[in-house]
Amino acid sequence: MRRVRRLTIGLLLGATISLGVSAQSRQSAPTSDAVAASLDSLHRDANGMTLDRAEVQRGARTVAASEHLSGDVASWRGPLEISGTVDGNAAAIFGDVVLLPGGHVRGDALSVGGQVKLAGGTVDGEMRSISGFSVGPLAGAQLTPAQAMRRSLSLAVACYLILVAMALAVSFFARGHLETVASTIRTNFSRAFVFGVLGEIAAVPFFLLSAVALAITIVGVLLIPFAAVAFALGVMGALALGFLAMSLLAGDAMMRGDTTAGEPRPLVSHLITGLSAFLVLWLLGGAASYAGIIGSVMRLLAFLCTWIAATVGLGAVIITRGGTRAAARLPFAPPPASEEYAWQTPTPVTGVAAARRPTPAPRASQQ
Amino acid sequence: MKSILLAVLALFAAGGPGDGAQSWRTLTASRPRGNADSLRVILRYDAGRLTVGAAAAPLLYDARARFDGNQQRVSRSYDAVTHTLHVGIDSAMQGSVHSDRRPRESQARLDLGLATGMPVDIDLDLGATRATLDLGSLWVSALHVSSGATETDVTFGSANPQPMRDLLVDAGVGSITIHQLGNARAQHASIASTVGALDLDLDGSWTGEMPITLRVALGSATLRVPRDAGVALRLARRIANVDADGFVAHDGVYYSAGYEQAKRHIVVDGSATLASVDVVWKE
Repeated sequence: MRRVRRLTIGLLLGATISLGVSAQSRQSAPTSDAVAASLDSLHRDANGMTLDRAEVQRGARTVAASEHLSGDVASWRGPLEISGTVDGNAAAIFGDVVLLPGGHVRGDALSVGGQVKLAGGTVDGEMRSISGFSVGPLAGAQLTPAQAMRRSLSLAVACYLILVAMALAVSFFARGHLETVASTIRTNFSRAFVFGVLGEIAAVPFFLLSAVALAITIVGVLLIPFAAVAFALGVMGALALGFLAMSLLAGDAMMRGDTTAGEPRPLVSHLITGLSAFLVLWLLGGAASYAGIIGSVMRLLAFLCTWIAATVGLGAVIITRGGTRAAARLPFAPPPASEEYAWQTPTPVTGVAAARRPTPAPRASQQ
Repeated sequence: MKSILLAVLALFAAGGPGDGAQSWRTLTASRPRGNADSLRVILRYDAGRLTVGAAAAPLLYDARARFDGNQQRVSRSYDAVTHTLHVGIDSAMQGSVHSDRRPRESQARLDLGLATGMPVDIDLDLGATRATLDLGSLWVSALHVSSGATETDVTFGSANPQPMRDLLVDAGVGSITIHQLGNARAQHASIASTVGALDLDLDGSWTGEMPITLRVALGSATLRVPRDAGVALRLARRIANVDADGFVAHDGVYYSAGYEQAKRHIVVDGSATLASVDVVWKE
């Protein structure tokens, strides 16, 4: 129990720290990735230009009066002041381009997030200022492994923290519903999965049919937007409740040895433990961003596990009407054994000791 | 599940600025004249306000755009060989759905200044815009305006240094007003209006004959004619009304009184379908 608790706290701390580090890294000093991303955006922007990485200097840059540059010149997060001659283009990314007396740019002068200022200099080409890039940095598959990993980890941790908050809320305010759903999953797993898949398939047609039915009357037409919002919230709530129930069961399984018989189980600990198990899957998938195809397989595995959990949970929520009623017993399900008649169990002749019939405790007066 | 979690995240983030937030961008682009002796401008602008006028003296063009980066794209390019400037603002954004799209676009604008003292060909393709073209200071050698749902106002405040080669206006839904069209000194003007109002002021510094092809459908056209000009109307009318008091019909052509004696003449050809055409004399 302590071990699991320590693991859970460690995961929470790790999650918080990794989020902090991720946020900090976005605000920290310019990294080579940021310069590359800016140059890429500049290249793909219809109003940008193509610059070579070697021509970009971080911070302010000055072209002295005695200088004559044959190529392009650029600054990144700083002004570009030109008193000499530039045969190519001049660009300041997140800064001003200032043409001082004697400054001469034979190509274009471009400022991103600043202005092109003529303070005595000349530009033969176009003077252009854009307030920002029209296209963002490369996304998705074109992210570097480090960026992809940071994004995956941040997303997983953020989702985890949100689910933990929801788990706390559910354990306090809807504990009975959660227990009912979890119990249904435990006894009717396959049935819950089938119901979950059917629910996912039928969600959109069901909503469309409802909308059509509402559209029959004028009042119903007005209600359609509200119905859409209510339906979306209902589906998301059902999915969340079901997933939390699955997480509870996962936590039960992991903490089985730590629970004392007869004591009520610590619901919150089990819930967070189960959620942490799913988090670990996603963290492993995110951390494997460097591993190419293996990382993709791990993320697919994490997705499948999560999807199955959510689907089974959704099915159980449907079966129990949101945890408000217990699932109907299957016709072939055997009745549970009763402790009251266990002593009557036939015993083999070989001499296994029979159970002792429970007898009432002797009264004090008889002693 | 990932999508569910994203949806939950979206719910939590609903209170803050999301993708639907406005993202206003600005673009300014100007170019010195250099050795350019003419300019051709091809402009596509589909939503917002547009003004076209004269640029400051040393500049070939000066464009200033304000647009919502989430919904619109702006591009400009200049071909130094053909002296052609392309400017385009379009709202064909990928997969963005915003219920309040129109109000945002109405706040977008483009101000385009063009060189004075050199012949300029202007080709405008306008969408849902409010366009104000002040061409008085420019030497417009050709003007093509094709518009969708617009409110367009064109002014030729002073006479063109040289006669305009071609003037073509094709207005869709909306209104178009042209002031002092005579100053354009167009060798031929073709003006069409479909569903909307057309107001043509034919005043200005021009001599001789001004040929105009006019096509009006499902709307109205008002021709404001200087008193010293003679007008000949040869319009094919299809369920249309031409209000031309004092005109005399001869071989299917309506001539204003004193047409032969007038120093300058306006000859209007074309058609009017389900429309009304009024001729108003200016003093």
